[in-house]
Amino acid sequence: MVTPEVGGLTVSELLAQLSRDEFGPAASTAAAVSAAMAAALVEMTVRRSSDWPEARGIAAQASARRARLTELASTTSVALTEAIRALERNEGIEAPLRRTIELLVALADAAGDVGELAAHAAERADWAVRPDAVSAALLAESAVATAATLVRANLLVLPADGASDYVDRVESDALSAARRALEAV
Amino acid sequence: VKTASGVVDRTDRQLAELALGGDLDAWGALVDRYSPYVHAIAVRAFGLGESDADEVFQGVFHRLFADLGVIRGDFRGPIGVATRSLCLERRTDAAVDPGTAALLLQIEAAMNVRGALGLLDESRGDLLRRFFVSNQSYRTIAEELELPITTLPGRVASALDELCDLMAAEGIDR
Repeated sequence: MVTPEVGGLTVSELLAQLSRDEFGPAASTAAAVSAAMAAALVEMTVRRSSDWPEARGIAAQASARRARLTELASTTSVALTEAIRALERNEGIEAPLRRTIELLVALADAAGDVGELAAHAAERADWAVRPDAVSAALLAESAVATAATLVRANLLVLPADGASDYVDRVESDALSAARRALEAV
Repeated sequence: VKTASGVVDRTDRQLAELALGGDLDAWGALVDRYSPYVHAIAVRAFGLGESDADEVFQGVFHRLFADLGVIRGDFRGPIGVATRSLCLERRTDAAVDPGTAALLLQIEAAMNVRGALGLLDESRGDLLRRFFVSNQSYRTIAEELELPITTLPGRVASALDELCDLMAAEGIDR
């Protein structure tokens, strides 16, 4: 059993865990970590933009979402593992699957927020760091797409609810944010 | 943020009196007010896993409900004591190490900030509460408040700046 707590791992340790043939960190963790890195890039770009009055407030928002995504890197992995075990036992499936979907939607949401922050930074940050903000928007967009894909995959075994439509909208927002960021440089 | 019975702006004591009279909204508002605090102590400061943190959460609010009639003033103190005590029971070493103590201090400072949200006008306080306390996404905020999503990072930044200025004027630790 690999550790579900990924926040304290080195990059090498995390990659080793992702590559193992065991329950543990997988695609949701990879997406959460990518989006957390994007949030960190946003923080860097705004901190290196001294003439930007709202920089502190943007950095604080990115920092809040980085913390949230770091937490989700572990919790989504634990929830997915529990859901897979329930599916293997073929009993008590609904509760862990619903919990997994809830966390994956939270992951899409937090990554989507990072995409908005990155686009905002790409349009206003110092010219020298705008490519970093664009990169953050692209990383966030791919994390949202990953989370949305996982939500849809988990919804295949549950009755339809609003989660699928909701992540469609979050995905569309993230795509728009990435386009706005790209147009800003 | 507002419930049907308008209980959110009431003091802890007022909520407790309502809850003792059977007002479920009031009890729910108390739980909502302190859930992030209990969760932060259990998960962030003491590093408890999900099931232990759930047990602590249940234990704290069970104790709170039992003591509703006797607690005076702000409930944060007794809730903090109960949470730390239940967390320590779940750890093998029954001591608070310096790292945990530092995290506990950060959480207390965060609670002060949370209280300071009342300094802002209602709509700006609501925006910060949604984003930072409830972790609502820009997408959800945009849909519920009917605001363009692209304006939200700037709106939140502006409200945060104003909060910092107000807190500095009031001398609140951050």
